[in-house]
Amino acid sequence: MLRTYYVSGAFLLLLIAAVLTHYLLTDRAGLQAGIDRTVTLTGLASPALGVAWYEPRLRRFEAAFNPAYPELLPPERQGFVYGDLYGK
Amino acid sequence: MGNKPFLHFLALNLFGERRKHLGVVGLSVLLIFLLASTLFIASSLQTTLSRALEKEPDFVVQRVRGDHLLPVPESWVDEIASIHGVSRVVPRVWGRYHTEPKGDSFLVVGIDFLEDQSHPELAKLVEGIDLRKFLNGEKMLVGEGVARWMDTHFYPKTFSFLTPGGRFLKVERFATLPSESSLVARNLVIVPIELARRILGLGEEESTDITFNVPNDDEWDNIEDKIAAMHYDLRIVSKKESRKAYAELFDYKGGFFLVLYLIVLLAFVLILYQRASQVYSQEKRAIGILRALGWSIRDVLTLKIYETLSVVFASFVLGASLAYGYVFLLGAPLLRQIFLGSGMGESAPPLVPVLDFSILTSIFLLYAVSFLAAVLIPVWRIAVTDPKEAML
Repeated sequence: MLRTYYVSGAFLLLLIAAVLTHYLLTDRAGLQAGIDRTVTLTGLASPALGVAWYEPRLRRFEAAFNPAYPELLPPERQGFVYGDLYGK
Repeated sequence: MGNKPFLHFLALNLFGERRKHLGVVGLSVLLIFLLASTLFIASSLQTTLSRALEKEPDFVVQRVRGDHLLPVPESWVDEIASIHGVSRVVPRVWGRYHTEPKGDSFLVVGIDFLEDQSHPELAKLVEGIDLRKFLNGEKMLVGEGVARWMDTHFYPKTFSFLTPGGRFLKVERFATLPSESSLVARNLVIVPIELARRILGLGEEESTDITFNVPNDDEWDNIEDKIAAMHYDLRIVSKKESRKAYAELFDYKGGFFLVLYLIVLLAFVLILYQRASQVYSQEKRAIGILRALGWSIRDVLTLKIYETLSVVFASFVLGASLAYGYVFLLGAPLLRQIFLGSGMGESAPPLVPVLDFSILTSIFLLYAVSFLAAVLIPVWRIAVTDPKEAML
């Protein structure tokens, strides 16, 4: 039983090591640099929410998300905050 | 108590009641996984965007009437540039282009390639780009989302923009922006500034807004006041305000989940407490036997503390590691929609791994303390009773 206990402990430590290794070896600066360059070029730092992103502030209409409860806002709606960042 | 027989007994105890422990570990892993995933996404986005915000100009000047943006005249650029302490005053041209009135949209951004800074930045952003070729004719750089949209809508090489004047502008797709930048560039269409003006229907001397920097931080408020007094329909937005908006957004969304988590955790602890306080006669007898064999109350509690800590540690490591893999290896499918919307399409932008140890510590403490209390209080109650009574 003690062996199984130690093996389980070792497995958990291995998981921690795997997470830390991935964290340390990932090219975080490279990922950030790509974003930084785009922002330096365009001057716009707000996140791009996809080409199909719904923008009530700009489009002034809203499609019902739930037919049984049309007043319910879709859960992924971002306009309430993102929409105010320079109107992007 | 930290000797080998004790550990052996602890292991026997844990594996002897593995069914009970596995159920608790399963539920705990699920709880920790959900909360950690949400907080990982929030902290990654918050960190990435606040770092990106550092690259944005310090101030943005817009022309607003009835809360609607109006084109800014170029004469404002000279007015702002004449203020002492202001640097790099640049007119910016950008706007949404809708493919149909209620359809998908791109963010068209015009870049002034005559400016010194634009060339090297573009060369760094898109490796191997031939700027001469790009500037020769009407060409555009598109984000990943736009490229996918154009491919699926049969625009493999060119796209015809319909200008507000009713004319079509055929623009050639030159290159796609790299996927590392897709968090901010997914819906971007980068074109030379003059072309952007034509697509968006702006006049030659007009721009969407004006940006500028104030190198001396102490002058920010003073210059903001001076510029705000220049025109009645002028709105000035500082980088500080944008930073605050991001912080509020992600704290709000992460905090919302934290509240939900606390409710669930409370329910979980209540169930645990109720279960542990109605300790099964078998377990009650086991504690009684240990006491009769000469174990002190402290020894019994130490055993239970180690047992509970093993469960807590296993649950936490499993839950947090699974959350890390789900968010930073798989890109957090489904859950990322809460933060980034569902318009992202099939592939997610890569999330920059951010391990905020204060978040991990908070989750661990919140979970471990309540778990330990829910288990140890009933055990202590039995341990302090007479062994004969406990064994009955």
